[in-house]
Amino acid sequence: MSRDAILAAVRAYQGDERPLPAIPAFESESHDALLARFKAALGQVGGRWVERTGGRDLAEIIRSHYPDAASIVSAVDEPPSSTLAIAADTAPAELVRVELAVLRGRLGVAENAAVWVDEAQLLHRALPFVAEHCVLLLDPGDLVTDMHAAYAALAGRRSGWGAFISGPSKTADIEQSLVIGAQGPRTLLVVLDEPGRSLRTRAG
Amino acid sequence: MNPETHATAATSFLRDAERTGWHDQALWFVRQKRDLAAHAVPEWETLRDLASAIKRHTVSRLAQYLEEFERRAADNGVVAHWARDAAEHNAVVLGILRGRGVRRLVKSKSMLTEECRLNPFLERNGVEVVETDLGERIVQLAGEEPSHIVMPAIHRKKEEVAALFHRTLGTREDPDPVYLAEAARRHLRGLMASADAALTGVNFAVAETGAMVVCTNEGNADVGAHLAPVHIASMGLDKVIPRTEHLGVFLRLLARSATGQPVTAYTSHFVTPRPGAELHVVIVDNGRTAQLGRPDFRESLHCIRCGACLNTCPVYRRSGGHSYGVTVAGPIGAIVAPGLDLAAHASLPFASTLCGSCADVCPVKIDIPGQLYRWRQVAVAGGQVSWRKRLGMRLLGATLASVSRYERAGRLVRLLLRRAPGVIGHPALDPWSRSRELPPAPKESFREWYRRERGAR
Amino acid sequence: MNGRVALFVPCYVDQLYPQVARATLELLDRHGVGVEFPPEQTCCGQPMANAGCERDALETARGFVRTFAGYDYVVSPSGSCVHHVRHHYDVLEQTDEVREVRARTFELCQFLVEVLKVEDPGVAFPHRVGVHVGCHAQRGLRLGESSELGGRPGGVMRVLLERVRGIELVELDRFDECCGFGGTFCVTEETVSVRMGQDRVSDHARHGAEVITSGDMSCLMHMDGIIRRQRLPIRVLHVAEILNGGTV
Repeated sequence: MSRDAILAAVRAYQGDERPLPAIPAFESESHDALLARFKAALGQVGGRWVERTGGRDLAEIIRSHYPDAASIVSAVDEPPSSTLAIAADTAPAELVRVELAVLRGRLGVAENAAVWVDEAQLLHRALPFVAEHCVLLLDPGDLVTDMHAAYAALAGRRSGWGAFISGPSKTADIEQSLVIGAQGPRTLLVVLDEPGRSLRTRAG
Repeated sequence: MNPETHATAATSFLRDAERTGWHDQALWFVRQKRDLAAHAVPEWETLRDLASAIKRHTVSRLAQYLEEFERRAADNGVVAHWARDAAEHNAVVLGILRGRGVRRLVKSKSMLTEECRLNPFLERNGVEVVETDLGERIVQLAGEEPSHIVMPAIHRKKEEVAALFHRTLGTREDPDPVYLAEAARRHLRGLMASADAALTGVNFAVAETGAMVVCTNEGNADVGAHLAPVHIASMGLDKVIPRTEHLGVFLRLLARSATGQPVTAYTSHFVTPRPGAELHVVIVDNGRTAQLGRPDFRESLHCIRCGACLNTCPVYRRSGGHSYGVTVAGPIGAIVAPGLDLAAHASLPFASTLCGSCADVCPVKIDIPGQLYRWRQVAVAGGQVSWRKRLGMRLLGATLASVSRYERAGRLVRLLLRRAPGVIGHPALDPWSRSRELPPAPKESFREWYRRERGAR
Repeated sequence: MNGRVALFVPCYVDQLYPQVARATLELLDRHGVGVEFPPEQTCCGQPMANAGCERDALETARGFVRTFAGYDYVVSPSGSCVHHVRHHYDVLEQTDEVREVRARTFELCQFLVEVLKVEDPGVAFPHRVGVHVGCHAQRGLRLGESSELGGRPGGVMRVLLERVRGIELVELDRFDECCGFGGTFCVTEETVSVRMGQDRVSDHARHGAEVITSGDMSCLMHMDGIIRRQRLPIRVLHVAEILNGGTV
């Protein structure tokens, strides 16, 4: 059996055990500094942010940024509501028609503007990718400093699939010219909620 | 054995001096972006040390971590397959596809599958393969191999891409990268939405959870994998890491080293199949256990395929990936390929000045120059260099081991340089003289002067 | 200073660039070092070893150890030779003698700065000078901080040159890119080697260097070959020659 042959070879050749290092904690920062860094990083990766202050409607924010979006799918439990019904068994041909996806981010990483989204917050795994545009709702209280802190914060969270999303899709494969909008969304907007405002998604 | 392989190919590449300058500058630009990103992280060197130690530990307990990964993946509903070599990998993939009547497979970037020559094999067996990474799609449509592990089409100018797309996709011949990327987007999204299966590589396989992490900027791996009913993930057995927390270290290093970005746009963690879909992983050896068995070269298995060494290598930048004649080119290629086939790739460890730039940018601190030096000894001991060179070095060694022989030889060399520069220095006969003047030929060596002036001996 | 100091002259410097060895000798003399030149020396063995023939270099390497055993310092105007002794003599049986010679072999500028603690070379050189730091000195011996690690032009050679009166050190686009000599690489991969050398020379020329200096004559030999073929108005001088009060 190939499996046994391979593992036998690995066991024979792997040599003496070398120690596994412990990962130290690196310097963290104040909440304000985290937020400032996150915003700067998001701009650097081609994304945009908007602060939701004064009880502003999410629907109104989205309308002002995406006035022409006709097909919207929202996995967030407040308006705007979806114009397309998406579920786990929706056909690909339907999914690629989504113009705007509105999703909740579980946490954000200041060093690289990565926002964690996983199955618990989605109607379909393809949603953050097939939509032409993507909006992520994020509580600034859920910002962490770096990837180590992010994984620590996510520990114990069981999910069949999840991803860090940092800005819109992009490519520089043609003569190193950066083009925003490759196979995934063309734009990414992070809506920074009022701190502490608790919202639950439809999917939990 | 063809010890001139890289040198000959490089000479062809260099014939177009201007294009070489363009290629060199394009890659140097990426190196500079890497520098900015790396130097902005105060703990960068600590991260490199950690990454190196984590890989070293993992490789020393590889069997245990592979078994743990397989167990967890199975618990998650992932079907694991093992392949000893390229042929077996390809047969396994075809078997999965045939069993489900797959006609079209979409693929995101995987150097492993390039190594296994999967695409031509599948095409021969009636499966249409669509590369969905833009750079890979470009080289696929052009009928060539990628020249760089991260930027497959870095050797192609935008005018060439415009002509290619015009010919194959029917676009207008417009070299604007925005127009061309848009054309590719429309072309590829349709294909991804109608694919019967998707295949991705794996950047990191986490033993603790069975998760497979795939990093892209384009989102193509995810579009393909989340829409198709079958997702196959192909991974080299060196991709496994012990725990989720280790991802923090590697992900902070990977994109910064590769392109100068703080992270790729998408870092996707596949744990379970999508409800109603299938998820397979193919764990591939293909020479990795053999390399594991070479203590001098085992460290090359730490590689996380970031491409930083290619970008910084002054030789790679001026000769291009294709001149190496292997799937993974550049400095890392030069220490991996001889392990796969010493006879075929003996010239690669010599395609270097041992300048050490690669080692300084490597996120996992592989001592590439040290391994290049050792591979040279192995190549010579294995009879993989020309008899002329062997003889020349033996003579040189004998000459330099004796003061009298050395002094006589030195006088002779200076005499020839002075009296018969046309003999030594003929551009057609002497490679040095093609583009360089010969060194001067002083009448007196230093030691002759010293004896005369300082009266020693 | 205390201790016996020996001068190791690289084989090709001995034969082709004796003035560099003379300048090194005189420079050390001027700084109060009674330096000896053991006549049994030949070569460090690097040419064979780098070509994959370290077995053919063994006798030469053993000869090096025998020649320089017993000295407190072995100084050489060559980063690449010193790197070879320090890093690749692990192929020899590690007797006390071998270990000592390896640890006591110094590159010239390193010796001047770290052992002799020279701060002011006490010379003038009123010219625009491009500094080429050889890769074995830079990344091999860590005599300067590499650009990959966030370093700027610096290191022991530059520290000395900055104190030379009237000197103007030019800024380069790629201050520590390899010149392309690389030992037998210079002929086995001739086209790449030449292109690398031409690019290095262009960088210096573009920034107005009248003189290119280095701690490694091998790099300079290769760049000088290109300079003279292209008939550029640039001279090459080993750093020892400048620090010894040399002129163009």
